[in-house]
Amino acid sequence: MNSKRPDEMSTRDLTIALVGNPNAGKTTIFNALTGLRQKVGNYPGITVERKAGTFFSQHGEKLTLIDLPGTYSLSARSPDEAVTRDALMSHSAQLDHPDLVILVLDASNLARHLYLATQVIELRMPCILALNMMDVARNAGIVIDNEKLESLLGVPVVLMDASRNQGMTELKIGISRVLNQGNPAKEYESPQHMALPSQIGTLLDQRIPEAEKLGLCQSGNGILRLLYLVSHHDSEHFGFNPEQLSFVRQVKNELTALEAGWEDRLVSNRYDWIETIVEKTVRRGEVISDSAVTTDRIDRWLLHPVLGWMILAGMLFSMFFLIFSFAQIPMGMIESLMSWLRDQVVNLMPAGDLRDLLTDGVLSGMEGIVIFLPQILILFFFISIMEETGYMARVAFLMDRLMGRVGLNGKSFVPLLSSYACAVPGVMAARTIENPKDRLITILVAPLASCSARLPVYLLMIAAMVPEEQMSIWVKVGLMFLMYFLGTFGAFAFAWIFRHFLAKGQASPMLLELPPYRMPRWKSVGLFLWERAQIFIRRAGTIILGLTILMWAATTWPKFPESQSGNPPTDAQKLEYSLAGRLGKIIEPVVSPLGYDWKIGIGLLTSFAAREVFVSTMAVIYSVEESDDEAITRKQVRDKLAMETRDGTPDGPPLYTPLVCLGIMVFYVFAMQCLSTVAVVKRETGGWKWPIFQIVYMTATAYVMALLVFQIGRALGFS
Amino acid sequence: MSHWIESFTRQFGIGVPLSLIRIVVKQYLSDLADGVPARIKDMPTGQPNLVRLREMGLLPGTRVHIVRRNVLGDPLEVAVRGSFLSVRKSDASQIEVELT
Repeated sequence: MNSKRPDEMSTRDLTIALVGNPNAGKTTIFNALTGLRQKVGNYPGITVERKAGTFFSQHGEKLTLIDLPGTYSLSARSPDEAVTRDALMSHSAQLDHPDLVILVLDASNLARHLYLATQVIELRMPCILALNMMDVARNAGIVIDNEKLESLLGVPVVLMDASRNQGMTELKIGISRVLNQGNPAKEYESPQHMALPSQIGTLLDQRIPEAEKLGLCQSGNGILRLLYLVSHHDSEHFGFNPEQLSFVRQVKNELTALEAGWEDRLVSNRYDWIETIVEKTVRRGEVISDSAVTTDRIDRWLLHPVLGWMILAGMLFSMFFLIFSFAQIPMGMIESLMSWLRDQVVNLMPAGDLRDLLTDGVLSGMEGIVIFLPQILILFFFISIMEETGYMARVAFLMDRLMGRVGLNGKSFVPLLSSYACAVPGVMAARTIENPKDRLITILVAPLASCSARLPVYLLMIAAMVPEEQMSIWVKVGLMFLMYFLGTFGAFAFAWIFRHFLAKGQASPMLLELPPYRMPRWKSVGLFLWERAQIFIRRAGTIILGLTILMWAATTWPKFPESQSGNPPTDAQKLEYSLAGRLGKIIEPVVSPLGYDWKIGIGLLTSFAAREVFVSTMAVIYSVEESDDEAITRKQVRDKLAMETRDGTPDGPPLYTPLVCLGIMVFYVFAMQCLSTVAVVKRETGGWKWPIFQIVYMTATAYVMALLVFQIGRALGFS
Repeated sequence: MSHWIESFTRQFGIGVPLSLIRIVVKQYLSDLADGVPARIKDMPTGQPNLVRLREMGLLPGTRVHIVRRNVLGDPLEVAVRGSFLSVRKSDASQIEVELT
């Protein structure tokens, strides 16, 4: 089965998997082979999604290449590590089962990287050892006898320097050789495997029939698969049914009863064996490599007890400054492009429902979304640079203690920071957190970080508060800062509450590698941003556009009956008569304690799908009211909000008072209004329980906070 | 710990040498001053956190030193086998070391 030849395979292409520690250079090799460029991260565990591509062997065969998540051991500690373990141990008929594994090792740190490599070799799969980063190793005076290594491990060894594209041809030749000649690793019998203490081996052997019955292992590498399943430290094993889980726990308890430190023994045995290999094959120079010296020099500044924090704060400050100032230029361009488009439609089409649909529904809705693409891209640009250079791991190092105070750990910082752009990648980034409780808390509070979808709401409300000329830029920046602070404070406060009442216990320790610094690869930064932009536009083009059109229809129909008196109905009457108007009236009692009228109520309702829909809903509601007008720009929406009065008469008290605007902003800080986030939380937590909990706790907080702002504010005499 | 005892005894005019105290008092990774090379002597077994540290190469017999620590002394950056790991103080305080 292991020596499948391409001509025997009719159902699928041969699959090759890249396996290695984080930062070993897997993704670089993946990019070089497939040409399908994708993200090369420096933060441990950045490759959390399944990444596949195709390439052609030396003989022109089409091969599938999978980039499996980086891991230090087959004893998985987190869901993304479990992905790697399960792909390697899957049944040979399964989709991702590799026909060949490329083990990527950092040649400058061979002993530690051989730990995972020997585990995989023992599974008796066809393997190739790719010794990457040979340049760094040579620079540090390390000499490796690769032929000796090859004969000791029984697998082909290829020397590489993937970042300089060296060794690719040798790797491809090695791939063809193994695929055509079968599995050399078959003959390899590691002393480690035999040194599996006999009691442990016997016990596992006895449990195998039951494990097979439960579908936990297949014949073949049963004993090792069972071993790695049992040594998974995640108490809520992903994808296990209750019977399997209780079986795994039972076997674990039995092993612990047999020998409390059985796992430690296995690790020590393996390292003993690895050290004998390293002794025979590696001559260590006592030189410190250039990159280690440079990294230490940089870290003296970036991890400095005082300066390190100031640099981090400065970075975040300049990031948000760019988001709010520099982004105005491309945003203005998008704005004028959209209004030009709208003018074209108005000129070309006869007046009527269809034209209104295009201008007031589709285009107004699209503009409200696309307008803040520049801001999202700036945020992702910073995040991507931090990951590329290796600074992200330092940020986790700096933040660990602080996050520990509220029951999170340093690794929670990356998901939370990503959540300021968008909670969806933020929630997904939480996969790298080993401890399930820490992961759950991080996921639960991540949407409290003020994501970019809230920005247009904040911007619109700040603009609506007082006429533009009367507010200095500092007040605006201050208000914005206040909203971000509220969200951040809320996230920490709820993390603390959840840690104490929901997921009791200590935050788990953070094990993090601080990789050497390196220059960002601009190409992969660019491609990452391109990917993000596409995802965002697609979202704007589907969910949000659909809702906008629905909104437009709900505000248009049913149409106000032509009155007999001959007076044409006013716009306000038309809106009130429509479906949206009626719905808004129904929920008005709920939102009126917050100082909102039924129109804002509609906005809140529609933005439960996505926050930014609030702005486009307002655009649609108010442009419907004045449908004779053409070309409604954002500015005009803002002006209309300013003119809106509480009783609907031109001289009545204004509806959008500073207090009401502040209340709306506070509501949006806390409310869970995003279908995409709900979907991703459901996927990541494996059920509806947590997303529903999240919707309830966040929206309740939002309501209470907005109520407090409005009622206390009014009691204090503000309007 | 040892440094603390040394300065404490000196206050009473006894002045027990540091090297002598080190033989009696156990030294842990978290006690090491930055940059001082040491060798891991012993670490408790049966603890999941420490198992992962072992898998990453921190084992009895391994040479380590602390590169730097975060403000408030936690976490520590530990150099081991040519790579740099961030280790929490609570874990480091369980790893017994001896100076080399």
